[in-house]
Amino acid sequence: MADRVEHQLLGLLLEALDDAEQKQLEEQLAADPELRRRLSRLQEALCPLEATRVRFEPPPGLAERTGRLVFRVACERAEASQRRELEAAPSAAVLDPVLQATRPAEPLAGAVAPPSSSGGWSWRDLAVAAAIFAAAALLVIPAIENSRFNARLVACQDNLRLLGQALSQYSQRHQDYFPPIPQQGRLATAGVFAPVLASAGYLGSSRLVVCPASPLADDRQFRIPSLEEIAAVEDPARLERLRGLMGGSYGYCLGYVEDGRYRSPRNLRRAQFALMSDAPSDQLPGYQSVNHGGRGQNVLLEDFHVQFFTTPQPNGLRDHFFLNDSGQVAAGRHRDDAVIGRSGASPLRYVGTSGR
Amino acid sequence: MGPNTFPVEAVAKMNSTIKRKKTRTASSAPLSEWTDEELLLEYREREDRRAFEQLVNRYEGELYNYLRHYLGDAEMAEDAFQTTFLQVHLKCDRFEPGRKVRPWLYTVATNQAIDAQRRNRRHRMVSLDHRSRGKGSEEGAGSLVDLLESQESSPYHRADAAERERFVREAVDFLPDPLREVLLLVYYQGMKYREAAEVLAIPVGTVKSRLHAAIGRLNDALRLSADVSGHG
Repeated sequence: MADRVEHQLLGLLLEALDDAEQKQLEEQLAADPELRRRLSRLQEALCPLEATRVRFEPPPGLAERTGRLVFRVACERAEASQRRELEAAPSAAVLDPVLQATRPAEPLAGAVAPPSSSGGWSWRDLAVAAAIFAAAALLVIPAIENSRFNARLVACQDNLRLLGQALSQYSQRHQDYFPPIPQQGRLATAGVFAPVLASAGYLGSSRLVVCPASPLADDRQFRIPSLEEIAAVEDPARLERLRGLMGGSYGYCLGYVEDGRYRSPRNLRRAQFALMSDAPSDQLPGYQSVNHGGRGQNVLLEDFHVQFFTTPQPNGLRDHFFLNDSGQVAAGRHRDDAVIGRSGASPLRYVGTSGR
Repeated sequence: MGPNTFPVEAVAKMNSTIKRKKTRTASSAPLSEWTDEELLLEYREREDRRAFEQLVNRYEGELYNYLRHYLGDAEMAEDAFQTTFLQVHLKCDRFEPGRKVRPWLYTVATNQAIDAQRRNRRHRMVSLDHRSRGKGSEEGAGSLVDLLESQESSPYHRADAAERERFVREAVDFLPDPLREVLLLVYYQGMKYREAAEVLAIPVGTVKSRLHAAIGRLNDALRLSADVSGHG
């Protein structure tokens, strides 16, 4: 309550309140000397900041340069789009005979006209229309499916990019360490990254850890539990459910073992080291994620770029994203052995069997 | 005037007024009098370059100042300003009518600033050096203490005005990003709580508590500095 009053007083000093709130507070201030004292204490607290409240003037011509840049990009894009259209034009000509085939043919001389009542639709017209409709549906439905798949893929990549920003900020403030996974206890699972980032204020919303193509996307009630909530759960079954859910639909790097000691994931900015991804599943071969219909997974790499891989061990990469070098779902066997575990996976617990 | 002429003319006049209100044309009023929303929608629907330029000009000072405070570097702020408007051009079709342009622009600018920070690590070089000497802790709570420990010159109360300003600036820079973003929007940019909440897509209550926490942490740092100088 005391805090709430201070928030409002601070808002008054910085003119951050809405008119109604401001009016109400000013009336309270007029009647309450203690409130006025608190206001002046807050005013003093703001004094040291005043010297830094300078206004930086933009360099001359910034707006003009920006306008030129944007229109140059717009022109380049328009030209590229025109080029693409011109390149696509011959394929339209190839389709032309097909279109002509659908046009009504000239009646042959001496041919008997089809029976048609009062110039309306005959069964033949309906059959042709149905065939055209079926052909169009065959063409359009996969295209719609595909565009939905792509839209969700891109939205998922945006999520991972934002999570990458949060992890990057976290590591900058923690001597290059990403959120650690404890070796034991109720927080010893990959999903702990989410409550750690959320409680430190790095995540704007719980939806960030939900891939829009995953089954969890339908659960509008989902939210990341706080560390306190997890600590307070007594029912073992509920705790297990929470551990399995807290990381949302993404998996997180399980760290590695070196010289017999477990080490938390650390930011070494490696371009091919997997840090997070769509959560692996045990329903598909190779622990392939189910998030994108089993067609692959988005992976956030340690240099914070996001890429879609159709297999968990792409060509050219020695490392399997979801298994360590011993073929286990557990912490890596060395520093460069990246293993992504889904929310409930523990770094030091043997969970899976072979790579299937 | 016949009995039928009045309603026809009145309706025509009314229609033209409504039309003018819905979509202004360049001839109806100078662009400088258009609202931000009208300018953006004009650019989106008719690709009117002048409307876009008007918007860039209008926000040149305000957004540059924000990005300059955010990034602490003139060159990076200029780059981020340009990429902000490039994003506005690329994503203006996603702007929902009925929303306000100003908070949307700040959201885009904030994202560009975060990207710029990540791409170009120059911004945090000094801070990272300080941090590497500190112990580090959850939520960056120890950062301000680290900053005080790392001050090689005289602490806050023994320093001259310029030194003090530098100290406060660095203390602001040491705040965790969620607190710093709120401080930049409300204190330095003069936004209402409600507007900052819209920019950052967080509840108003969170904006208030983060701002309060930011001021509290800055004062803790300064108080600690005073203690250090008192004992030193």
